[in-house]
Amino acid sequence: MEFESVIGLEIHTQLKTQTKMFCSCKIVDSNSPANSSICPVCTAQPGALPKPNEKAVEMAIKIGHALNCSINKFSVFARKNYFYPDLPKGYQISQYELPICENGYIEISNKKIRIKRAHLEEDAGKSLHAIGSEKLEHTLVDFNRCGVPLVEIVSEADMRTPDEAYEYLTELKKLLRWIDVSNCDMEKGELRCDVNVSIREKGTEKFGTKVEIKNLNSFKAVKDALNYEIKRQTEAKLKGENIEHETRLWDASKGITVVMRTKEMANDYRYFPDPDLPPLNIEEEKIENIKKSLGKLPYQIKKEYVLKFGVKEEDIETITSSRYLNSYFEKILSFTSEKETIKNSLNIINTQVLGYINQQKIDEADIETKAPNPKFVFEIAKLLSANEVSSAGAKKLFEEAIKTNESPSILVEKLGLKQTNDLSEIEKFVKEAVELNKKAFEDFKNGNEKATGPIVGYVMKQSKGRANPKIVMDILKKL
Amino acid sequence: MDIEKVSKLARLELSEEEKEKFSKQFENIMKWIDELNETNTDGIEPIFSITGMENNLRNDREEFFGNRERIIKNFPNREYDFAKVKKVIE
Repeated sequence: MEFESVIGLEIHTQLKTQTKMFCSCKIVDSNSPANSSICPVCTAQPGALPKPNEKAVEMAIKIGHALNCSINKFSVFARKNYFYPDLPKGYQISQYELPICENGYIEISNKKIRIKRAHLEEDAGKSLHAIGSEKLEHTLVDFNRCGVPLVEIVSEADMRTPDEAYEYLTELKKLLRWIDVSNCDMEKGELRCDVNVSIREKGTEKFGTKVEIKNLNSFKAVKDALNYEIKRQTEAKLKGENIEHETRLWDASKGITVVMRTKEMANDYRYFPDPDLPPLNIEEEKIENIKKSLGKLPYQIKKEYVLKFGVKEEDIETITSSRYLNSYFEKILSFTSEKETIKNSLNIINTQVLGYINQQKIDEADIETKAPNPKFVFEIAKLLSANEVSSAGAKKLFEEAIKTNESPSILVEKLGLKQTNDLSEIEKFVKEAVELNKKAFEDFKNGNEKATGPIVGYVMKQSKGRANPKIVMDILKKL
Repeated sequence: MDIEKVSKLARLELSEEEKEKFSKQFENIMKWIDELNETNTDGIEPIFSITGMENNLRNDREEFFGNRERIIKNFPNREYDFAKVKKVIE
């Protein structure tokens, strides 16, 4: 019996607003003193009323557009009722029947993963069960995070392998960062992921019993947990056991999932429209303006580059992965529209520029000011296209340009790296070399391409490395 | 009407007498809702809010609430500046 897995993902992303979703408390990081950013609204003091953050609403609409969703101009906040100490109101404000975004999709490897919905909600507080390795007798609660705006993005169960789930996550994170609504740092909890996974006999339509997995702290954890869970479910099925509908936790240190046991967590949320919050009714014009403000998205830019410059998708992966790197590349495009030079620039960016950025630990946001001057990259690329510098020479030029901050078009002369394309000069050297290496030339003529080593070596030496190897070979072939 | 389930979800401890009393009351409420359900609502949009208000948004601008100590003092139990509660995980 062959099985296939059916995977759906629920993502929570923390929005990059200054203040919370329903009150004006500043959003502070997890190192801030406990309960230092709280007010009557986010701690549920009697009579306190929530008021939605306009920026958060706009960001949710941005997300909807980026995920090809239809945006509901009319949407409603609902109460999701459950008791837990980190939720002082006894309910979480979320959206239920009428979410702000619905029916979208993301494309991965030419497959569409449908998005069921994306809706606004508020985060809960943080519970502390231990200080360091010391377990506490009680639970301590910090409400700083209570009320921080989140958007929950729910996919359809369209993924079939852990790799597809991984790719979906990567694409989603790229988009959210691109449109600048979230930093998506999983370690800081700015992106959280729960997965639903079931298995079914290949070729059948009916879904198997699904298991939810929580506590996934990295993309790798998502992939590992899915691999483990699929194996566990497959083995259980083969043994004729039933799969329980349950929530499991990923234990990264042991590499297993275990059944979650929480005291009295009822899965009966009794959603109803929150009477404290009037419905959202966003003007069509505003929804359209937000769409326009997004500009082109990475997947659109990617398609455009491939079409316009004839470049390979893998070569433009990086420069379409972040808007900072993309605007760096776009600067180069403002200097040239010459295909060969653009390809050479991409090459330099993918190797040396990225190498430099990584080595110097330059933050994405600082690329504009701290990365190597894009004009330099363009100049080197142009020299390469004109065969005026060898690839080794180009590397050297790049290093020197960074060191001295001098323009490569000047440096190339200064360092004597300019390749000579002067036929008569090269021909003179080639003839000398053939004279001195008759045997090698003979072998070459008989079809041994490798035999040219000493000849090319001689020409390079005489020309101080400036002879264009391609021209050397052309002359040799004609002799 | 499963009064025990409802009271559990609402975290209300009810005596046997109360359970009986509320069961009856809830039954009446449910009957009334059943009556409402008989009304033909074809083509009528649901009402999510009765105030007629919409949006009521605020700017994303910080306003410092200067009296967090009073909120913390109101915690049923505190340890340092945390709210101290019964242990929630095993």
